[in-house]
Amino acid sequence: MTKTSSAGFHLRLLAILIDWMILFLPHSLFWFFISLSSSLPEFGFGLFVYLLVWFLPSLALSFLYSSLLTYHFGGTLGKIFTGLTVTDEKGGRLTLKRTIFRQTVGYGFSFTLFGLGFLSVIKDPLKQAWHDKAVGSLVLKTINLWPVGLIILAVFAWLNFMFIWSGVDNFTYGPLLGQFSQVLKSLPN
Amino acid sequence: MVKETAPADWQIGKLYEKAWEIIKKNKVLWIFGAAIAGIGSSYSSSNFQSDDFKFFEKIFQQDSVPTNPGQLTQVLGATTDSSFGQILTQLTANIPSYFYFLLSIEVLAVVGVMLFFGILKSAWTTGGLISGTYLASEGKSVTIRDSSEKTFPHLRSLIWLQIVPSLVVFGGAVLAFGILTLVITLGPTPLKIIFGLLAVVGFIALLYILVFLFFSQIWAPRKVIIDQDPAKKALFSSYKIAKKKFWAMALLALVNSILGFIVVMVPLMLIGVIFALGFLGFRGNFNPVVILPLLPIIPVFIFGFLLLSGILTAFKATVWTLAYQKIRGKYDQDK
Repeated sequence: MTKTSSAGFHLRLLAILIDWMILFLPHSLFWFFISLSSSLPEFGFGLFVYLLVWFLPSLALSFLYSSLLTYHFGGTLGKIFTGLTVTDEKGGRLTLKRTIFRQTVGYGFSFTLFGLGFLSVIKDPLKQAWHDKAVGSLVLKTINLWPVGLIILAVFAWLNFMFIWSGVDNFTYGPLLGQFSQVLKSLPN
Repeated sequence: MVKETAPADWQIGKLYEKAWEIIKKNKVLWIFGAAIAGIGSSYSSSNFQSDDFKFFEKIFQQDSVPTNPGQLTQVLGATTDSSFGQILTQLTANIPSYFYFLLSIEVLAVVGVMLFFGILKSAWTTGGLISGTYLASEGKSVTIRDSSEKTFPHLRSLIWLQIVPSLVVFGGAVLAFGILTLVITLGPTPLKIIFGLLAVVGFIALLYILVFLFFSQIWAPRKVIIDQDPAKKALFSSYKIAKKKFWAMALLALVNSILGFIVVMVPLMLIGVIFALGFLGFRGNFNPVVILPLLPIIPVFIFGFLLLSGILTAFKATVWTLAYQKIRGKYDQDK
């Protein structure tokens, strides 16, 4: 008798939040380091490096992260830390094409009508979102790990908050804001 | 001798009645319709729009990579006298030229990937909507699962239909009109006259091609999904149908457009009138705080509008699918 059951909305939401916090961490790190700049040219250079080295590549990396991890391990880090697994309707592994479709087009489809596709998990008997129905996948709760997931979410959320807050602090009380104001003051009226 | 006219293959009123019954019962079709309406493409025409390239074009507007901050601010449209220009000058002072080249490559790659997935999504939602309307017209239950499974085997054909015909027509038109323009601008007077006439003929030919491409693209995805035809065969036999049923299709398309206008534009116009009246009423005494209570209504309005667009898109798709079932196999065979 199988001990797995379909994962409900709250667990899936927890998993997505963990993924967002993990994927956002490099952004907040970059922001923190850029905010340490002592001059506008240095700040501009840092922004450009952020765009080139992380912001634009992350658009592709997040797709690779979700697709490849889901295909190889049955889920992203968020799902793994919450004890969830993505399978096909027979409990086996999804094919790579279906996994990529699910994580890209499928997610986009679920976002239709203000994310109604994700909320549909609440009422669905198999707890399938629209992207699950599109490819015939299920998200199963294999281990009861949600307390671990909550702790990991809290840790990453705190890390992100600290880096962003420190960055805002550096920007507000450091030399950069003063330089912005100086440039604006030096302009003819 | 009285020539007998064949009865029309469809009656618009009966198509609308049946389509409305199907749409009322199958809310899954609304979702596919909303997904298509949301990506801003009409299901019945190619989704490969030149608009997709506007953002990309802006990045490559300039001929050369700017080498100094002053040139850069002009490139980005800011004058050095403005505050934005001054700040931009400072921010870009330390950025080497090759960074812009790398940035262009990355933006190009991102746009390419987004375009690919956009086309894939458009093809799948179109196929899903057509599958769903076909299943519903046969009296079967419509689910996202069934519509999706029916579409997957034909994704490549649907993507081909979305991209290749438009690319060929667009490429051919650019080449032809490019050559014509060159000769008309630089050639001797006799050649200018000849090529000028050719340009007029070419323009009429282009209009013909565009109209029949538009109409063929209505039937072609249905032939792919319902008859499981490969893309090229579906397109060419759809062209045969479009030639024989041109006026009936034009009338149905016109009625659909009028319906779409009434359903979508009338509520928008009403809201516009309300806002205009409100603004005129306040005039000089306008206080933005007055708008605050209205802010929560905006997302509700957008949701409602998207849903309405979805229902309309699904309805029109159902009408065309029902029309296709009336003429299936009749006009696309070689005699």
